[in-house]
Amino acid sequence: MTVPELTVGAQLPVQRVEVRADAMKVFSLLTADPNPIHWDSAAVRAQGLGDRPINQGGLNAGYVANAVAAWAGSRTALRELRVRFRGSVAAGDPVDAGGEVVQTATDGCRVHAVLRVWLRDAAGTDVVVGTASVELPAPENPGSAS
Amino acid sequence: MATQPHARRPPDIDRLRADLIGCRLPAATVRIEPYEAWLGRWAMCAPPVADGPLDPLWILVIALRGVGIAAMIDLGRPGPHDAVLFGGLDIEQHVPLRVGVDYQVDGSVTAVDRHTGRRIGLFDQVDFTVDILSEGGVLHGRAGNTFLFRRAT
Repeated sequence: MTVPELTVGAQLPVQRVEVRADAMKVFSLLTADPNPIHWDSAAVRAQGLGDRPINQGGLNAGYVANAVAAWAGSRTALRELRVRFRGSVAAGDPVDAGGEVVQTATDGCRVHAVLRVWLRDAAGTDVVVGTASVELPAPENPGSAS
Repeated sequence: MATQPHARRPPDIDRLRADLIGCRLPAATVRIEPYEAWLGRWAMCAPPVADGPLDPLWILVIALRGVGIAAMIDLGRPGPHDAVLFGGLDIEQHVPLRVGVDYQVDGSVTAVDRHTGRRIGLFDQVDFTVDILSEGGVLHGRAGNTFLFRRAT
C-alpha cells in the first residue's frame, strides 16, 4: 500500500469521472429515489433543467469520497465527509474530484488529517465543496530502531 | 417578482419548526446484498482499494433507503410548484459497513430554518440526521442530510 503524503498542502491526485446516465438509474434504485430528473430526460426538460439527466448529489459526494479513498489507500480511513452542493452536473459531463491536506495531527501511532475537498466541473466551477477527515497509521520513522 | 398563478403561501415557519424538530422518522432495517454492493460500486465509480468493507457512501444509501426520500421530502410540505434541492451531506463513519448485515436505521429532524438566497429566493432548510446501527445498538455511521425547499411565491 502506498502511504499518502501527510503534510499540509499536499494535493490529492485528481480523479476524473464522466457522469453516466446508466449509473444514475442504478443509484436511484439503490436509494429508492423517485425523482425522475435522474433518469427521465423528458422530466428534466419539463422542469427547465436542460435535456440530460441530472446527477444525484449523493453520487457527486461519492466521487469526492472516492478521491479520498484512492489517496488514502483505504475506504475505512475516511471518518467524516461534510459537503455542500453548489451546483449540478448532467449525464455526459466530465468532473474532477480532488483535495488538499489542510491540517494534520499525530496521536500515538495514528495520524489525523483534515482535507479540503471539491468536485469541479469542466468550466472550473466547484459544484461540491467541503471537508474530509481521515485517520491513518502514522508513517514509520525511518531512523528508529527496529 | 411576479406571483406564479398556482403558487400557494409557504407554510408558517414557526409551525413547521414546532412540528418537525425532534420528529422521528419510522424505523427500518436495511441489509445490503452482494449484488447490490457490486452494482453500487459500479455506479459510484468506487476505486479498487485493498480493504473489504463497503465504501462510506453506503451510509447515505442505507439512510435514504431506510428512511425514504419521499418521506423526508413530504415532511417539508412542498407545494405543487416548490422545488426540492439536496443542499448538503455529512457522513460519519464509525464502524465500516459490511454486506449481508442487518442495520437499523433511526432518523429524526434536527433543524428547520427559513432563508432567502440571491439565486433561489425564499427557501426552507430542513436537516435530518440518520443513524445506522447494528444489533446491540452499535453506531456504525451517521448521515446528515440537508434538504432545501425552494418556495414558489
